[in-house]
Amino acid sequence: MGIGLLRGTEYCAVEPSATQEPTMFGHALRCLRPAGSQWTWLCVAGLAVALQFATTRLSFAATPEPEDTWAPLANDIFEGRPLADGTGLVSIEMPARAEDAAIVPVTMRVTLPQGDSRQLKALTLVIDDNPVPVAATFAFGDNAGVSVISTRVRVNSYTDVHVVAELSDSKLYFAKTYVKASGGCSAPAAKNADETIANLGQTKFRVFGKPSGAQREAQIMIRHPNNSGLQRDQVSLLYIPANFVDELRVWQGHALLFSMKAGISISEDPNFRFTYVPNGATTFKVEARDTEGKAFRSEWPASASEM
Amino acid sequence: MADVKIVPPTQVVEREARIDLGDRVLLLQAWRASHTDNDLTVLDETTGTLFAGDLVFLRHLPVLDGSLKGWLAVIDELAAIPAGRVVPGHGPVAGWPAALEDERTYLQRLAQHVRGLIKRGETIGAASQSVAESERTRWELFDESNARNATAAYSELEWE
Repeated sequence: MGIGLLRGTEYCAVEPSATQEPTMFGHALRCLRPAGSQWTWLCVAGLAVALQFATTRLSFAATPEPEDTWAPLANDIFEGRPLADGTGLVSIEMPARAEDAAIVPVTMRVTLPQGDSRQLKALTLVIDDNPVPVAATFAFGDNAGVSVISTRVRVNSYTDVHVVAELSDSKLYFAKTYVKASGGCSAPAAKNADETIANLGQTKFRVFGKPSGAQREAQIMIRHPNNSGLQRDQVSLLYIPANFVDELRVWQGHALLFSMKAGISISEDPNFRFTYVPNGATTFKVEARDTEGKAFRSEWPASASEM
Repeated sequence: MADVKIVPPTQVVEREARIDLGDRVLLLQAWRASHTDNDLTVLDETTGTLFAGDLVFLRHLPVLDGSLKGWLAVIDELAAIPAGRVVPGHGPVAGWPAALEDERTYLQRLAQHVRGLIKRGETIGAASQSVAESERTRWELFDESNARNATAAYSELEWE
C-alpha cells in the first residue's frame, strides 16, 4: 500500500530552462506550477519529505497532465487492481471551496444496500495533487459497523479528492469530489504555537446519539501539530521537520474498531468522527504514534461526554 | 526602488519595551495569541495615539488567525490603555476605547454561536455555514472571512 507514495513531479520547480532537457534529474524537478524562487524552496522541503519516505518507491515518470493524475496514481496505490464506480455505495463530501486550506473537513460514507452482507474492510483517502497524495488509510475491525468517518485535511492546490472503499469480498469502489484550496500543506503551523506544544498528546472523546440506538457516533481528538515538513518557522524561516501522527488504533472494549495509517495531509490536532455499532463494551481505547516514535494512549468510559 | 533597504527587526519585545525618540517615548506591548500569535501595539504616550495593528478591526470583518478566547481577553486589556484615539489595522482613525465595541460584539457572537453548535454535536462544516449571520450587514468583506473564522473558532473551542 502506497502510504508514502510520493509524487516527485508535483511540488517543486526550477527555472523553466532547467526543464527543457528532460534528464532524469530534470524530470524529478519538473513542476506543474509556475516557477519561482519560493517553489525552489518548497523543492528543498519536498526533498526532505522524499527522504522521509525513502523506503517507498518514488515515481519520476514524465509529468502527467492534471486530468491524467488519477489513473496512474490509482494504479500505483492499488497495484493495478480494478476500481469500480462506487456511485450509490460510496460517497465523499468536502466543501467545494475550502475556508481554511489547512483544515478542510472531509466525510466519507459507505452505504450497503439491504441484503448485501459484505462489510467495509478499508477506506483510502487520496488527495490527488497533494505532495503525498495518500492522506490516510483506515482499516476496519470485523463487525465494527463503521459506515461514516470524518476527518480534516490539508489541501495544497485545486484537486480531485478520491475515496476508495474496499469491501470484505476485496472489491474496490471509488467516489470523488473536487476541492478549491491552496497552500494547506505549507500554511504556517499552529495558530497558537505555544498552546499546541503545551498540550501535545492531550486527547478528547465524545459520543453522540441515543444510547439505545443500533448505531452511534463518536469523536476522537488528539492534540498534535502534525507538522507536514512543508511549514516554515515564522521567525527563522527554516522548515519545521515533519512530525505527524502516522498510526492510530481505536478499540471498543477488546474489539478493534479501526486502525489508521496516515501521511502529512491530516490537519493539526487530528480529529476523527465516526459511526459504529455498540458491542456492549464499557470502554473506548485509543493508541496513536507519531513519526518521532512518541506514543499516546487514552481510555474512556464508552459513555464519555454523551450528547 | 534601488535605494529601498529592508531593515530586519533586531529587538525582541517579550512583554513591554520603550523606545525613547527624544521628545517622544513609544510604548511597545506584545500580546498573547489573539488575532495572531505575534501581535504588537505601539502607544505614543505624548499624543495618546495607539497604533493597534490588526488587534483592532473597524468596518473590515475581524480575521481570526490566533485564538478567539485570547482575543476576547486581550480586548479587555486593550480597553484599559490610556489612549485618546487609535490607528487600527483596518478602518479609519477612531476614538478610544469605543473603537473596540464592534469587534468585541462580533467576536462574542462568534464564540457564543460556535459553542452552541459544538454542544449540540454539530460538525465543523455546519459551523462554517451558519455562524454569526446577524453580523453580516455590519461589516465589509463578511463573506471573505466569516466562514474561515468559524472554522478556526470551532477547532479552538471544541477543546474546552
